[in-house]
Amino acid sequence: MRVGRLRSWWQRPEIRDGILDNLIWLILGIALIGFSFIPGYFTPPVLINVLLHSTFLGVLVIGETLCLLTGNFDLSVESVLAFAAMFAAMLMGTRPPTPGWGLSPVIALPAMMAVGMMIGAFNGLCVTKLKINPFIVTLATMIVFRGLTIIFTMSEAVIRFPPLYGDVASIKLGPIPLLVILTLGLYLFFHFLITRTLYGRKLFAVGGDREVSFAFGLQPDKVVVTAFALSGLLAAVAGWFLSARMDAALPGMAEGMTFDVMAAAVIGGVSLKGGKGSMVGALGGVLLLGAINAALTVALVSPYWYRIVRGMVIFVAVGLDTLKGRLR
Amino acid sequence: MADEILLELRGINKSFGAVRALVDVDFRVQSNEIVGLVGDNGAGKSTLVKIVSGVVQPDAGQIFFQDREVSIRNPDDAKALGIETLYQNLALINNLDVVANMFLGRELVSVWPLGLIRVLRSREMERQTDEILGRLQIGIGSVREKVEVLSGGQRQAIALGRAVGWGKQLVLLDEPTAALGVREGRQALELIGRLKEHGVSAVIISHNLEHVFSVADRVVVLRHGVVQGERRIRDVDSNEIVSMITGTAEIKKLEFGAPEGP
Repeated sequence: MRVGRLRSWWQRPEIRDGILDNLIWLILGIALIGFSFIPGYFTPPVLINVLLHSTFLGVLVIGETLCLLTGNFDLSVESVLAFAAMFAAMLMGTRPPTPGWGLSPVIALPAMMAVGMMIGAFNGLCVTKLKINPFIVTLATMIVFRGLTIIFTMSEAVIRFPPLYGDVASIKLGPIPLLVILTLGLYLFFHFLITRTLYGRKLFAVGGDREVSFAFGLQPDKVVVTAFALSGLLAAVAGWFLSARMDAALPGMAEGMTFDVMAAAVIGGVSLKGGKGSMVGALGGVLLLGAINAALTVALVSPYWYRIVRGMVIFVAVGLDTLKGRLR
Repeated sequence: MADEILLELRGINKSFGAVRALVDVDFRVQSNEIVGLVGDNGAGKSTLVKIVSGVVQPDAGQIFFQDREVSIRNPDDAKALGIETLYQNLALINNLDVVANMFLGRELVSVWPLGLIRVLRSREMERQTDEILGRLQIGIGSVREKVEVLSGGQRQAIALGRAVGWGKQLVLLDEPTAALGVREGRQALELIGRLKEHGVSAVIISHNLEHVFSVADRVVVLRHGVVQGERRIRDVDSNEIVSMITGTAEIKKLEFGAPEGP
């Protein structure tokens, strides 16, 4: 009787899928219980640091999730982050040896967002109109824009930003940094976008089956280009956050971050094949990576081990994903 | 009224590279009529259907709908004319639920101020899906279930339900019974047969001649992209249709005609 009730409860799709798609939060909970045995882990500074470091990665993961949902991916996010930050820094900068126009952040901020969005749209157009594999396209833009970032700055850092630009990283609401709240806000907005709006529906449809979407008039190309453009835009936002936090734009900033971005998304249950995943899950993936990093740091594990541990986490996450398919 | 022509294709040609999929095809559907479109694999049946549904553009030819010349450049144009299609292998999106599939490309939305964000009216779509599937007597557990967990028969029923439920004028059905068991197949045919009660016409492609004979009023045979002939169902038996499909009728004609060459 009781088993029967449990089974009929399990058969309701919204409950069953809701649990299976958010397994990551269960894993995060278990991980945190484990980490609580590390002395000094459960202290406000450490936890806030986990959140703060999750913001830069987290914003990139939102854009990556959009691309992954359409069945594509964007390797260029780390370079777009750096290029947009450097672009804004040069618009605002005044210090030699880097050239600068000394412009106001009121101009620099929208300009960097526009640049990020245009690079993303370019990626999307190459993928849809020229039908080039997204791996090749975004690998190329990743390399090119990293190169441009280094050339433009002659490999120098640009430091010190005007208040309006830098404040975003210094303001706190109580103990919580504004960056954390903004990132959470972005997650809420994009969660709403992909679950409740027409664009979100199209995103899942195109990622699920491009041909059927086309046959039903969904204009898959437009959906994909928009996803890439949003990914570029969000990379620029992450560039703002990170450069403001460091009060500097460095030519090598965020190098190698794309791997963490992909890892967080996949750990969070976003499928590489498209059409499956959620912002809630992706956020869980971001936080799990952040929590593990902090645990390794607090436990004074050699940084050389970080990558190995993160690699193992990806294996476990993908293994669980396969298991999930059987439970349905 | 019943003899009024709903859809008429004239001189349709379509090539894919060197392959001539359709050659000077004339085809028409009357209102309140179910037309069977039969032919061997690669005869051009699916291409013909895709031209009417806007997925494929013809190289040459005219399309008339309700006595007006129309151009069907994309699936939305077809939808606007009241034409719905059940595509073979292009039916449903598996990672979406039944409601999302039912409303694919015709989602109900409320536009938020600024006009940028269009929010799905999920509850209304769910209600209408229940209503349509109920009316068509298609039973599935929950319309919030993702299509990938449903059985082949249930999926086909939903795909069929979508085409039949939305079709206002003409429903194009490419192999609607192919994936179905005997009982499900019979239910699908009943559903198709009832279309005429609602004043909707249909074109049905099927390899199963028995199925075609049970619902169609008229059969059109395609062979190598050419219309081989058409027959009223009541004037023909399946043997004749089979020989038209395989081309043995033609061979016979040659044998009885004057021998070629000296």
